[in-house]
Amino acid sequence: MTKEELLKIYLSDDIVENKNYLINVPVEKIKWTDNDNSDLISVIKLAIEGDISRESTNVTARKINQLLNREK
Amino acid sequence: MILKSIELENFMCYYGYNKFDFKEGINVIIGDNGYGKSKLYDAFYWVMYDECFDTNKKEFVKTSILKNSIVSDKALFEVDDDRVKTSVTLTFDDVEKGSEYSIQRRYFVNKLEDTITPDYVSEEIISWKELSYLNSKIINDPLKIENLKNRILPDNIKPYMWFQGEQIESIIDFNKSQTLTQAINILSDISRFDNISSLADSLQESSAKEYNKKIRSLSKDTSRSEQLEIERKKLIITLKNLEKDELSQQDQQSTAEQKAEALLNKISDAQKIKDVDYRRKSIENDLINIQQEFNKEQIDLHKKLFTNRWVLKGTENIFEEYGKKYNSYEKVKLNKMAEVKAQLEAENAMIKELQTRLPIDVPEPIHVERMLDEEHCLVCDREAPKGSEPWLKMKELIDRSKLRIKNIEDEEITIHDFSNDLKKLYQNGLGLSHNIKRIDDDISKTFTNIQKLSTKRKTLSQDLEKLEKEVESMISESAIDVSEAQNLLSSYQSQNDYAKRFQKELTLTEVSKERTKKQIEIINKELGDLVTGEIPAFLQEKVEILEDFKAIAHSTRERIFKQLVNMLEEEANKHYKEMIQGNLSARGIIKLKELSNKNYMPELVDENGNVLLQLNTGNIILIKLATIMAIISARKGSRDTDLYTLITDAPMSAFGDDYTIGFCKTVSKVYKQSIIMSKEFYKNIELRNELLNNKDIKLGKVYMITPNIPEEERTNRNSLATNIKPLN
Repeated sequence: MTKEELLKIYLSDDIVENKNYLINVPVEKIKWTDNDNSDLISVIKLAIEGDISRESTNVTARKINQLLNREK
Repeated sequence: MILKSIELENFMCYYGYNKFDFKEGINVIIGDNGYGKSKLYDAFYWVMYDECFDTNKKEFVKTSILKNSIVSDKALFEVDDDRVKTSVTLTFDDVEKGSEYSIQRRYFVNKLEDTITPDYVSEEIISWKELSYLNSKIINDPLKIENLKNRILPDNIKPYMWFQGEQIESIIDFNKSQTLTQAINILSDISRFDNISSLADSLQESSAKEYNKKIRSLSKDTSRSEQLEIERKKLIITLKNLEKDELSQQDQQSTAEQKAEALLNKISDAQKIKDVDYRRKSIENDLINIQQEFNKEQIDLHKKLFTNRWVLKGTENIFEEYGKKYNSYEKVKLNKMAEVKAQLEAENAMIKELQTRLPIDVPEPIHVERMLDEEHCLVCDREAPKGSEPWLKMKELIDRSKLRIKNIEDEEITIHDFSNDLKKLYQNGLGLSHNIKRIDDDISKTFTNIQKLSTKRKTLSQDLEKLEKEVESMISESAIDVSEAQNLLSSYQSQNDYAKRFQKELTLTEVSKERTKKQIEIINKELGDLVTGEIPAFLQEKVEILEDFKAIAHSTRERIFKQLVNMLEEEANKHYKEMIQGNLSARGIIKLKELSNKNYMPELVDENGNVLLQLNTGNIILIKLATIMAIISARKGSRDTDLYTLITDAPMSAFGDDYTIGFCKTVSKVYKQSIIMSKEFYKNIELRNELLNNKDIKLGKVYMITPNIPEEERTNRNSLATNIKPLN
């Protein structure tokens, strides 16, 4: 299973749709290389990438925290 | 990779050099029980893993323990002061890479005179050959060897690809709730989703901690906030413990439900067996009682000759004759008595007459004696010489005193008087003769009773035999014996009781969980109310995103798992349908049922979704085989069934001949290559011909194996070898 397929699986979840994490983009058309519409998508991507590249969960968690700790 | 061949040298019953070539499709080794099928399976396993399956211990045993038991007895017997080599070689064809791998395992045993010294370990030789160049080289690198073996058969797939018939039960064990879940975990990407879920859990937990810390730092009443935080932490620990309890209770409830359900399949049979056995026991008791009564009657029959005076039967004439004789005896006796009486009366009359002349003892006897002695009568004073008339008269006076009146009782009528005895005999006979009239009735009544008992005994014996046959047939159909049936019924009851108890506990846990959650919410609200400053927006957003990430990660995992289960179910049904095609009575659809602890178990349902109970062993094995095949074949894109060879010993032994061809067709469709050891085709020649000629079966090589010596001589294994005959 490719990382794009995995991403699509996660983004097919009802919560993504109910909370409008994907704005006007159908899940089927999502590409891994697309710009992320939301931090949630970025978080999911980091988690998938971390698992595929078999990096330690601490490293992945740190990357996700760095992403979300940015003051906007 | 395709398994090209197996070569066996002095391995168990395979004496000398033996070789089986294999092709793609289903390869079948046919042989009766004890002909060497399992030994062949052992050979495959031994080469790869240096161990064989011990059917007694139900576990795999290493060469270091098996020792010379893996060596041909004939080879060992024939050699003198030498070394016996046992070896098995597997040759694999790597079609994609145009190369060939060979794995050989060999083992040596030394024999000096009668002393046998086996080596402690076996040797493994792995070689690789490039077919286009025909150059061969030995692989020594342990990592490469491991990789090669993993290419031949990965460890996680091994239980589903190489197994013996008797292992099927444990591969998919209905009593172990984790079985199917584990299979799905091993054979799918689900572990990836699990990893991401656990990452999401830890991120959400740390962000929540961070958020709470910030809230406390912005509190207008720090000490209150700290106090609330302590309470919150306690409640969180309580909640976690309750969640753990809930999981354990769900697990226990599922286990109990599942055990009860597994028993439910057999419960109806068990109840029937119990009922029939109860009837059987009751009839058995009746039969024992009747038999005792019958025996008593038989013994009494002899006693009754005397107790009921049957011995008198036919003696009526004797009594009559005796009566007559007794009567005449009595008559004679009476006559004689009359005669004697008359004589006595005459004698007594004379005595009386004498006594009337002169009273007795007058003169007194001493004077009379003196007169007789002196021969002189003193009364009349005259001479009375001895012998003279007066002397004789005086003598008469003396004698007269000795005479007395006689009674009839004083007289002997007969020499021996049996009168009383004969009378008693007559009287007894009279009483007995009355009984004789009743003897016929008594005998007839007794024999009627014996006949009645005998008929009853016969009927009960027939009933008992019928019930015993019924129990036997029920036992063989359901594979439950009488004691098991009793246990099953009580186990079923206890499992249902457990399930109810855990359900109650779960409800209580749920209530406690809700209460704890509410308490945490109240604390959170109070903590929020104490905040004076502003919580950074990024932190609020982070918490929200990570909570959503956690929820998405978990629900996605559940969704994917359910999809896998559905896929597995669909695939299992495809295989199941194909396998049962040959049997019109077979029915049902495999349903993977979700248990309350989220595990899945297979069950058979009808077209309306009703669970089919009373499955026999054959049905259960077929469901399990279909599920095993599905686990391997459902993994889309993995080509596990193309990559690895299915090797199984006697998988069909549990189900009837009707399913055998269906099974072979399915296996040849599902697996690129398979090697099946079977006895089903040995005796059933029609079935064997169908295997060899059925166009729906993609057939590889078929061999017949037979021992070289007759069955009765097989106990002497010193001459045992195995004949291998290719059938196609």
